[in-house]
Amino acid sequence: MLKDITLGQFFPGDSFIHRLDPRTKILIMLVYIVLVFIIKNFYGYAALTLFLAACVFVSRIPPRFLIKGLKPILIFIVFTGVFNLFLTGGTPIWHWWIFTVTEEGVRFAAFMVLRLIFLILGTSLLTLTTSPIALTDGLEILLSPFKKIGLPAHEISMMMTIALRFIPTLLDETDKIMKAQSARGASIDTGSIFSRAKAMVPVLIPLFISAFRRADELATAMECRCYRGGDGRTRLYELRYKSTDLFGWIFICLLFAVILALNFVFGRF
Amino acid sequence: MIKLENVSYIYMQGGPFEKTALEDVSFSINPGEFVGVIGHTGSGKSTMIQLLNGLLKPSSGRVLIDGEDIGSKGADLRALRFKVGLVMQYPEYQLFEETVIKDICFGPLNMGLTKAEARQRAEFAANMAGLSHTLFEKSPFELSGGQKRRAAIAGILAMEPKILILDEPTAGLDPRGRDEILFKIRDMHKRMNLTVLLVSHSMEDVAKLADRILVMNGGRVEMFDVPDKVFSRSARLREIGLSVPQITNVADRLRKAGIDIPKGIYTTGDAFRALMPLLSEPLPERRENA
Repeated sequence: MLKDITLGQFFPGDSFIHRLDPRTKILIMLVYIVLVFIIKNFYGYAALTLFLAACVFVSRIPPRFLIKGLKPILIFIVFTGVFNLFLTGGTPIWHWWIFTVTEEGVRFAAFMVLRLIFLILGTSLLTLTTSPIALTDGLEILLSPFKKIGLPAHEISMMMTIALRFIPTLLDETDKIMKAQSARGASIDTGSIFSRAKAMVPVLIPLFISAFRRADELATAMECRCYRGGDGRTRLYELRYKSTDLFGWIFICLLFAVILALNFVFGRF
Repeated sequence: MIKLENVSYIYMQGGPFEKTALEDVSFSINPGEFVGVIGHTGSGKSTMIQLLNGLLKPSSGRVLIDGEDIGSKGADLRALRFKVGLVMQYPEYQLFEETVIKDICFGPLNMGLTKAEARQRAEFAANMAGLSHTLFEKSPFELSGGQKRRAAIAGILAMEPKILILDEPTAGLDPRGRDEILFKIRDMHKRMNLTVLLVSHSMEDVAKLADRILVMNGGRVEMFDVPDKVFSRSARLREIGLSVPQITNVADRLRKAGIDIPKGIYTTGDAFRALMPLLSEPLPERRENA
């Protein structure tokens, strides 16, 4: 179960996408997210699919690795789809008992599901091709202009670095504790939802205790190395834009233009 | 009876971080035997013991416990885990209940025993593990490191397994806590006729306790023999990042220096028995001379 979580995982490589500056990738991701939401018709999604497929191909990440990342949120996708399908008003096309499906409902549900899938796939691609350190470095620099209005850019990025750093550690720990409790006959993945929730107690309590212990130890270790916040702190690796970043921007601008054009030509739905 | 037939295990098969942890491992362990498992870090010890109670399933090959293939579809893994008790590394991190005795009862209650039966078993197991009854109603988080470790071991013992596997049960304990736990393990092995697998980094400990020693290297079984045979190959042991007990080194050097002492000295007790007759004068006098 825990092995399925690919969100936030890094897939090392040396592709065009891997080599893009993290700042470029984050900004492109923002544009991509905007695109996912402004698309008005299925032609737009076709264009987006092409773009994403090209990115995945270039990044040399096995597609099934990306698809696997959808598994944990499958339940949200299904819920969104079902709710939109039955709860959207409009022209009825199917009716049974208290359930009514409308033409608008079908379209709306399909749109919502597509949006969710594209959001997850796109963001997974970002985290898969960018090391957590590069990602938070990029974010810190992008956020630093907001320091003037009191945004703690360095602290935010440090918290993110630490959080990302500890995802695998905590997953490991969870795995270990689950094994230890299974060895004592706890049945964690069988039974009703209620009994399963109850069975999580022997896992969650040790996990929380160890998370607090780790946080405490990390704070001490950081203090021992004289960490005192971001003021006056220089970085080991300076980020520099390269020519590849220009290509990245050209591609995303092209995509933006194409999708605007498709929206304009074909209209809504 | 534990039997492994050509067992391999691969972590994250097909992923970017694929790693072979075990390769074509075969051996069998007889009931009532005390087996020491040694190997360099990453040699596959922890993976191997997790296969024995079905926490991991072999990528290929078969694991047989009392003749039953635990990788087969119909295998009852829960029943297996009550039979094969596994004490994982740093087991004190799995304690979660309000009181020590409740935590020890967790396993027996999962077996479907009544509260009274579970309590009885828990008290017996706590006693076996050397946990004083004054600690029963305390929170497990108030205990010392060694006491926590013993509470966790008692939690496994309370299920009354036929096979007990301990993964470095003495790691991170002070010398006294270490000796107490090892003594208790030997005691349980003898009194309850348990089959014991003890994973350890300490050559002294396995030499002292084990009937046979399983040496792992790079996911394979390097040697599986009685301590005499295993420790006679000290050069090979050093090659794979292990060693022989310190006292054996000393005895070897003495023998090379021309002192007539027998081979096969693995514990300070052995050395004491071999060397004492050579000392013609009684010890206290020698100390006065010095």
